[in-house]
Amino acid sequence: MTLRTLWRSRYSYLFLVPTFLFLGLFNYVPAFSGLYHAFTEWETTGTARMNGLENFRRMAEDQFLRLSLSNQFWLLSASLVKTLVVPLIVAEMLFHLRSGRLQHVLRTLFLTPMIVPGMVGILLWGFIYDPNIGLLNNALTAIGLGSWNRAWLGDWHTALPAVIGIGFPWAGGLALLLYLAGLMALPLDILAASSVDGASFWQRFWSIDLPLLRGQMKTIAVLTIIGTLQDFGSLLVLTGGGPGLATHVPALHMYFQAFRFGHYGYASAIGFVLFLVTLTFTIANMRFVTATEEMG
Amino acid sequence: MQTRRILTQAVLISALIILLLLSLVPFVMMLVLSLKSNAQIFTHFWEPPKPARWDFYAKAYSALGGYIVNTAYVAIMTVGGVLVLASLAGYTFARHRFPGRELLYYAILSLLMIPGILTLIPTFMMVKGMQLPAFVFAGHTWGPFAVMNTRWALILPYIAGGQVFGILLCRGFFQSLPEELFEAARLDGASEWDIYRRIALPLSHPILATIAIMTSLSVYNDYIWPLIAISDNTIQTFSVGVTKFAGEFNLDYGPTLAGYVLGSIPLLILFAFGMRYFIQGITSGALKG
Repeated sequence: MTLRTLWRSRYSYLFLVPTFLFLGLFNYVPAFSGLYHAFTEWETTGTARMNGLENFRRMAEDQFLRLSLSNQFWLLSASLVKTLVVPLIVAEMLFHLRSGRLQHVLRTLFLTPMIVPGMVGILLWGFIYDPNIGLLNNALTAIGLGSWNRAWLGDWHTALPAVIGIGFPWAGGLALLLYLAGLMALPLDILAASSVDGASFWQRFWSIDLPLLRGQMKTIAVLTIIGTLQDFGSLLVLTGGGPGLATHVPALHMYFQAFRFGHYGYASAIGFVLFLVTLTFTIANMRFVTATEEMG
Repeated sequence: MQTRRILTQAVLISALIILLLLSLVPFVMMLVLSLKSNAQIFTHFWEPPKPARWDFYAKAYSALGGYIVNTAYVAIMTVGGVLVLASLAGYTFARHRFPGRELLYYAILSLLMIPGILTLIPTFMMVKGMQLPAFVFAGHTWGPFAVMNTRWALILPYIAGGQVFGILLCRGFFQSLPEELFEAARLDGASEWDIYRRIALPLSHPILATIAIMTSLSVYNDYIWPLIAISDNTIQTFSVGVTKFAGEFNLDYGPTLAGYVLGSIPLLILFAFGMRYFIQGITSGALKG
């Protein structure tokens, strides 16, 4: 590699300058800064000062953080069921419709909830759970179960289940699209062979559809895990982590530490750990996808 | 056999329609209740609006219209920036050969593994102190301009983040074009810029539409970043604005819900034109990595 080849490639580098200028400023520098500041004491006023593993020791002793872990576990498990299982069932049902036109219309209709801005969707669920005029309480009263009425998001017992219930019946969205595209792409000869062999629906589902949809399932699982671990906006708006700590999660803890209490260093350390967790899942996924691509 | 098939189809269709209706419940509720006064909601929850309070929409628009315009402005600027950067870089990675190409591409790919939660605080601290440099124009010195609490505090980081996925999509697209196309132009003596501008770019409209839609959607739906980066309410975006609005009108439900409906209209327009491109973007396979 000589200067001559570099000079000949000057336009290539020139074309990449704007991209890397932006990435450097807003992606690379903050990423390294985040890693570095995880090991510092950094409060609103002063400058950052190295303090080794002090932040991590503090995390280990942080009661709020510990309590938030079990909420996170339940939220994460529920999200996985919500995005992996339900959309798969809907995709299978859509796929087995014999009328292509009906299939197309229904698929489009299942996507319509995406038209509503994310925050509006969340606020609407706040409305459904509202103690005074909420849809849920009204519906319970209408069927004679008025005694069950409560402030779903304000009640210590029901806040977490209510957050999990958001989006019920969780049928549409990105996962449905990915599954349906996966099913449509199944090799026709395999499908034809299985129907000639007289395979029942369940035989086909377990031995053909599921194995061939593994790539989609991994993708959805990783996107869900990353999304759930990072998403604290909806909790911030609906419950603020409460009542008490009933819906508190680590990402929300990080947000409060940084933007309410000004402990930027400690918050960076929480962000660092969350980053390690998501990184682990992403790498596991990439290895898997590469392996499937080699197979297919 | 025939009747069994028809029965299966009937069961499938009814199950799907029930699921669909359940999915649409919150949105039907939003539309119906947005036209009802508090008195109607409290006493006749299940009845249709009578009279329909269309004036709530005017009320909601006067409170939320500004936020919607702000978001549209930020989204348009972001999409413009992302399209230029992503197509240029995607084209370069796909059709140019130069030392360090793989390395630089992996440097971009690796960003997919950096979650926003790691960079949130450092980006905030950096943007807080960031200034756009001063320049001299018509004999006056303009600036320097602080970035924090201006629209640039949103647009610049959004462009940086949005281009990553765009570069992936563009690179895949430009790789699929036949090499002869570019070879012929080079033989005719076209410059590298001309080849990008006159050959690559015009062919890439579908993929650019996909990127534009995905980017607009993520800008419109972002909540945390505008919440911490923008404190000036006159330039705030819809996602944050609507939560404030919901708080202010807390006890006036109809106008609040009317505001939610209004906020959905820009996305309705976006999907009406670009649903096809959106679906292509999701299912393109680029999401798999």
